[in-house]
Amino acid sequence: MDSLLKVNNVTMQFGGLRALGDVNFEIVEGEIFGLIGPNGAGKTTLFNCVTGVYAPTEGAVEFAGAPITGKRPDQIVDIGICRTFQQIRLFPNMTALENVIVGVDARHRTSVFGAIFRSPRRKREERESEDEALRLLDFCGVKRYANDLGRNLSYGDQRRLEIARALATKPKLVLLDEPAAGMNPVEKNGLRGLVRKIRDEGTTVLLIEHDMKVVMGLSDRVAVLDHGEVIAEGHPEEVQSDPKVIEAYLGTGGAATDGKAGQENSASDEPGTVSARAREPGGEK
Amino acid sequence: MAGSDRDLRTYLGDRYPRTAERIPDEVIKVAQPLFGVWRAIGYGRYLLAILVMIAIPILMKPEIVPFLEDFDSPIPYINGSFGVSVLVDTGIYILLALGLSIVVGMAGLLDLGYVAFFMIGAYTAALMTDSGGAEQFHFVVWPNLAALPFAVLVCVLAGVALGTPTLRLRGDYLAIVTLGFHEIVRQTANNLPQTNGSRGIPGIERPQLGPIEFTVLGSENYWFYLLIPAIILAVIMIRHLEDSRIGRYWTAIREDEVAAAAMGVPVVRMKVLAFAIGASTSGVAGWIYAGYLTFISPANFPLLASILILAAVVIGGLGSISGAVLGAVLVQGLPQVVREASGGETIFGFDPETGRIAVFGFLLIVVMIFRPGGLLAPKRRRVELSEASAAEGVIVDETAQPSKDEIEFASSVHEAAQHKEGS
Repeated sequence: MDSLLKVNNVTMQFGGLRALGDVNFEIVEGEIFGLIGPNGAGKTTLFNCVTGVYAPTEGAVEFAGAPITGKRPDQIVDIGICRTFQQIRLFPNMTALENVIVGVDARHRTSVFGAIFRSPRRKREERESEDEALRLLDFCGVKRYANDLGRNLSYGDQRRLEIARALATKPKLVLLDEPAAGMNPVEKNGLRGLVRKIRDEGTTVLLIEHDMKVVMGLSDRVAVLDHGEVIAEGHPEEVQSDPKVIEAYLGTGGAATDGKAGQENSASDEPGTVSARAREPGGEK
Repeated sequence: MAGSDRDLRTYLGDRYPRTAERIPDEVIKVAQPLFGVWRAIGYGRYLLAILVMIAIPILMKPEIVPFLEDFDSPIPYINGSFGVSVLVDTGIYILLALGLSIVVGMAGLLDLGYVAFFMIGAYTAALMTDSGGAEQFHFVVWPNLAALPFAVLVCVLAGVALGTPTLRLRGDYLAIVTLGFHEIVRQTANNLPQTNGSRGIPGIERPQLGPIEFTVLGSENYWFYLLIPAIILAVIMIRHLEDSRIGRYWTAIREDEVAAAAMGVPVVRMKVLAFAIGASTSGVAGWIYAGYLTFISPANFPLLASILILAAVVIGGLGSISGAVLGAVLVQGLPQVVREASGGETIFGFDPETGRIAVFGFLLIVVMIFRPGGLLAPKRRRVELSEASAAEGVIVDETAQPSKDEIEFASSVHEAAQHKEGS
């Protein structure tokens, strides 16, 4: 098992804010790797560092043995990493089919002149892209919406369409940013099946997820981020029982004793969440 | 397939989903064969368009269409200098609107200084050809026709030059920069001795195609015929781009730049490309304009022209090729005809020439309220889905049924939620 993605000492500083501090982990080819942590722990910032939206202040990201830090987002896609967004970012006025074809286009090479003069390659690629897009829509269970505009799909289907679009770029590693957010339990279950299917088709998955049930049931390995640092890494069961993880999620004193602990929890949880949110100013709008 | 009843309705449905449903079956039945012919001729429809357009100036003569003699029209018949000059003006605006529709309509880059490219094209043509009475105002003396590729090339390069440093900006910021770009180009032409400042360049040579001289008197037809292939080539070029990954990339950037970059779209390069290709049609337009008027000065390229072209693109429908053509006709052709038809009289207290700006402002607001996509919205790509896949369930995984684990989880979530509500 080779390591596919290596995150080496990545630090991300926004002015005085340290969103990520010295983050290290490795993802092995063919696994589903879960990345969890409280709100504002730096999960999405880490995604942005890997996918070229941000250049990390320090440290390096390696993909399949080659450094990818400092590359543009579109170059990262060429190399074989694609992502979805926490806040859904489809192309709202394009059909579901067109959304996915934009992803397929990333692997095509028709030039401006090829397009203007309708080169044979353009003809072949256009035909291919439609077949491939339909296959992926089917794979993600949204084929019947192929002709609907992206914005007209339901929330859960938009998430599936976003996954289909990401898979269309034929990534070796796909980064899913909270794919289950806002889904009901049945939809979540369907999503779990989908993520497994993606892995079984040979794509490695890096998953950000808040829903412990989803992430624990799905991941081969898990890393926990808190305040921009990896506080635990390993198999889901190990991580779940790690006192530092429990502390990060439930607050200090949570595991200590009974009695007033509950009150303390809720008291320390709220401000913690608020300040943690404020720590990610450059993140998603 | 081509003869089936669904075909025309599906075709219309791609553009106007709601309107298409309301068309009665009888209309579809009657129109279907015509539509079939239209589809069957393919590129022949461009040929048809060429023939019709060639026929217009020839046929609109009293000798050929007798009723024109009795017809007491205030508009001089079309072969006269007025009628065809309206057609030429409109044609030039169509070329400009087509170029701008790439930049604003497809790629979503708000360009308020588009007329700067038009100006660059016209000045390039003027400075490269023998400008009659004022020999000092040219770099080289070439036949007018030889300046055409250079006018296009210089415009494309100007597009790249403007685009490269500025296209990292978004939205309003880009709009302000393009506004400034127009002002820079205009003021440069206004102050350079080589361009004769605000007095402009007079006596620009007209092209000669074999025996056809584009001389001043009665040459409008030739200019009109020159515009037809230019417009048709531009339409085909844009149509082909729209229908390829390049066009989809532009639309993706317009829709969501961050998501486009994350899907492998080289955003900055595609934006520069949009500027460059958008500028290319204005190079042709500028070259025609310079030769047609034989005189250009900075006053011919006011900011208002940029706004009017933008209005044409927006009224017609952002990202729509036929919309850009229609918009240009509405913005440039129609007011001239109305003005001439009114015979200098005011309409509702408006002088039609100056009043048109107010009318367009009003029209823009009306269009934006009732048809936010413009009069002719662009079509979206759709596929024919088999009945089976169209009826498919939302979730196709075999894991669709909730497992025990999942039901437990669902109920625990439910309980937790109730617990939370209760506390």
